[in-house]
Amino acid sequence: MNMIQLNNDQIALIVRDATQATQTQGELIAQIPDFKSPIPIRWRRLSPNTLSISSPFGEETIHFAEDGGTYYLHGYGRNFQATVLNPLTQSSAEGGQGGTIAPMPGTVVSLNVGEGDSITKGQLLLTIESMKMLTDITADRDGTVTEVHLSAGDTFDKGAVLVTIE
Amino acid sequence: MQRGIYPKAVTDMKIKKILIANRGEIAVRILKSCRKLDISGVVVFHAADADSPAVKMADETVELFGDTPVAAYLNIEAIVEACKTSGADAVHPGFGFLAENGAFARRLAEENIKFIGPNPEVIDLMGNKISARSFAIEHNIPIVPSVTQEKDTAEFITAATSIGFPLLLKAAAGGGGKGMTIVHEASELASAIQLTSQEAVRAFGDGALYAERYVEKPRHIEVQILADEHGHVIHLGERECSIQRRFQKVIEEAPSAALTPELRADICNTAVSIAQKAGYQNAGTVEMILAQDSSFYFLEMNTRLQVEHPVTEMVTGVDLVAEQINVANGKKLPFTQTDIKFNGHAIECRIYAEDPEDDFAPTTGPILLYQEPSGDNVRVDSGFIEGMRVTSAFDPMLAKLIVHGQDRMVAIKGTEKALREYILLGLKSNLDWLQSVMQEADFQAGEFHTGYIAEKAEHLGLPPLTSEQKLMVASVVALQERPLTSAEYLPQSMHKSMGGWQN
Repeated sequence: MNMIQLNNDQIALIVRDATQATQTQGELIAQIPDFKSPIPIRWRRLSPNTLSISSPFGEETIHFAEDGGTYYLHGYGRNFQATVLNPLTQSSAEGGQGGTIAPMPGTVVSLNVGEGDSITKGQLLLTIESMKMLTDITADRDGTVTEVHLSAGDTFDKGAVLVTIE
Repeated sequence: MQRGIYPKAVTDMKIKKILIANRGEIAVRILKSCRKLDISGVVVFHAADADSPAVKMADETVELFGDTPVAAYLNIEAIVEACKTSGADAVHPGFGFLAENGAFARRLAEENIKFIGPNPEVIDLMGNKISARSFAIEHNIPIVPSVTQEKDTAEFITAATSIGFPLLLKAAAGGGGKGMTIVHEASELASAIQLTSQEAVRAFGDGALYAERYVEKPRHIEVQILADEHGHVIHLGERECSIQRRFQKVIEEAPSAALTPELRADICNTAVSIAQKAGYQNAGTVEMILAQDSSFYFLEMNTRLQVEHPVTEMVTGVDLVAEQINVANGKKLPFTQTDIKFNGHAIECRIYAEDPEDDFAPTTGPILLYQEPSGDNVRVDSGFIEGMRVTSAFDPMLAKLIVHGQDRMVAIKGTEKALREYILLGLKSNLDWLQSVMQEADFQAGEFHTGYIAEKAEHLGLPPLTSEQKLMVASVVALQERPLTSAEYLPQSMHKSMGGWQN
């Protein structure tokens, strides 16, 4: 799950490979809160800085370039500027004490760890529901769970610390 | 794109090598005409411009040094020295920098180097607002009428009333908007004089006033002049440059949507007569203010090529830089006024490195990806290439997009299309904002004035992103951030959505 700042909008995006991607093309399914259900997307790389991207809405050529963490994009006859906000993999840095931070508002569906548990990187911590989709939140490193801040059924806001790992 | 009457072969060139005392897009523009005339082009440059297209395209280059990059381009002695070392026999100053510097033109003359522009006396005359105004009064050229208050208030009221309303009362010693009052009717005048005078005493210690005609919602109209050294002066029509921000032009066009054929003839003939009376030579521009009642007033004369000269080239087919060189060579103009035919409509957009959402503050950054729009009716004058960095060292203008159409609406639609196709990635620019102007109803109707941008501020800018745009563009970003889209965060329910997807 990514939070992407795109021009003046913050967009919560869930995206995953639908098939094994190659260097030049792939298939995704992606969801943003604007749509009730996930949208299938196909992409083809036309050049290092150009993708052709198609969805049930149609096909668009999008040019892009990145500089210092900011993406500059051109498509639909207009310009976009984007940065990736608050990704889970940066949670420990942003949370200070190794907190796993919610990238978007949601509800806890199930908890798979408890306080004191030793965990390894990639281990399932909890499952959340956001934008009518279930998402597994996994540990971004090895450690010990020192605090679980929520119980199943709790709702949380974007930026909430879900689990503290030390 | 070139069309129309140009070129007639220009032969017997005395000028063999031109030094271009400028940079950026205009240096490239001048080099193109040098190429066409088979004249060598020498480009002077500061290290900040070492990778620029002008330097790459030049036949010869000479590096300039200075405390700042701008200072390097203003160093008269260094440029004279560059002429000597390169053997250049003429200098084209472009615009800005030394283009309207009489001392520079004189210094070149001393060295027997031809300055491609008018003589230094005319540069000085028109370069000083007070001397230009005195010149206009002396020659009965319309200027914004004004009177200065003498001791007798009754006389001042009579004189001010004769100018007509609305009037702007100003403190003679004033500035910065203090001690200024707009008077709409004669009945308000006496009390306005009293109040403004009191204000002027408080603000400046001097109650003397000055009254001038207040031009409401003015339009900026200017006339392109071309004059040879044999007394021939012609005009190449007008340009309208009313779309401005911070007194800088952003969008220019030819012809103006505001003029009737009669008014056009009147304004253009007035401009020609101003150039004749000043003994003008080479290319120049007479700037006018057009009031809503169709009265017009001389503002100033720019004794050089203008940034917006391409719109005139697009509608007349005349290569203005080539004609400047032709005139500097002592040649007669190859055409008369009646030879000049006007074809269709042209619009120029200045592409600025700036953020229209942040009060047009300049932006900087690398040019990561650059693709200009193309087409028969599209011209782009640019001075940078992919990989260059836009810094705060120079003016934020990056390029000019000029589009021609058979009429104004076709030119507007063509401009909008070209702006959509213009790819400039790596920093924020005004490209999207320019598109929104092309879509705006009053701009399309030709109903605007110099306050347009400020007045329309809230209505300009492209509409919010659509859901589709958000999804697709955000997905492209996510694709570039592969670690973030790894299998660690698989949404479980997505599998279900795959079934209905038809390729």
